[in-house]
Amino acid sequence: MIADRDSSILYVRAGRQCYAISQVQIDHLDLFDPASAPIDQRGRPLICRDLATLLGDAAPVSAGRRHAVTVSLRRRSVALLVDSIDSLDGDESREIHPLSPLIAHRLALPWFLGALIYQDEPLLLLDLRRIATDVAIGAV
Amino acid sequence: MRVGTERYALSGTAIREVARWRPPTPVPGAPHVLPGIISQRGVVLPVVDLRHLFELGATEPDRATRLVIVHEKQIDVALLVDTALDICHLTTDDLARLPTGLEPQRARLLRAVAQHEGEPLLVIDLEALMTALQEGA
Repeated sequence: MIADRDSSILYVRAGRQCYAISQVQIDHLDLFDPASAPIDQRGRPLICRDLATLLGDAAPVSAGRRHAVTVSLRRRSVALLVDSIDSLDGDESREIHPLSPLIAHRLALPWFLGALIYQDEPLLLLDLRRIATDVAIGAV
Repeated sequence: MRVGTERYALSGTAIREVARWRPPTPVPGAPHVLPGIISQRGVVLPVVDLRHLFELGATEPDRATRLVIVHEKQIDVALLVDTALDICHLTTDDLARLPTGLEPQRARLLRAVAQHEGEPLLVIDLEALMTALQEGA
């Protein structure tokens, strides 16, 4: 499966691991301000959650600047907090490889659209909308 | 190949390649037997830790650790083993029934046992192994 060339893939670090995310799924990116009110730019409720923690990373949450990746749902938004965001270098192949059924069917968290190869290593592509929806409905 | 302290054999026809170990990319929420995925020649493969599958003690990977890339039931996987030892030729006469005292969880993944260089060699049933993985072993 080839990713739409208009959909930029971003590289995020969340805890000890790095992931790919599709810009198409993102409403906006911003620095996270813990002092700001939990509402999105449209005045709707905003739920903030640490992405690494959601993905089961037990490492302490970074004390440094966090970035908020905001996904808009129908009635609210979810901000997933990450440690850093960057664009992928160069003109890397954007082929998205589906996860093998051996893994895909046994995941406790079905939050991955597949993997893409970046610097010769697979990088998991997160399904941000799925993650945000599960957060919003209280499933996690 | 060696898995833990035991020696195992795999049909050569299923083996695509033996690669040096490198840390797989963990997939959050995957069971311990599937520690992650690797990219091998541009193909993303799941890694199966045979030490977990056979309920043997897992040790830290070292220079001898290998990934045995196999193809079975239209699926490619990388089997994580402690050492890839050698190629050997076994005939049907070399194969014996599995000992009755073997744990059922392990016995169902094996075809037979052989004697090789004076030591027992457990022959993996790759088809059964893949089926077990698909069923959530």
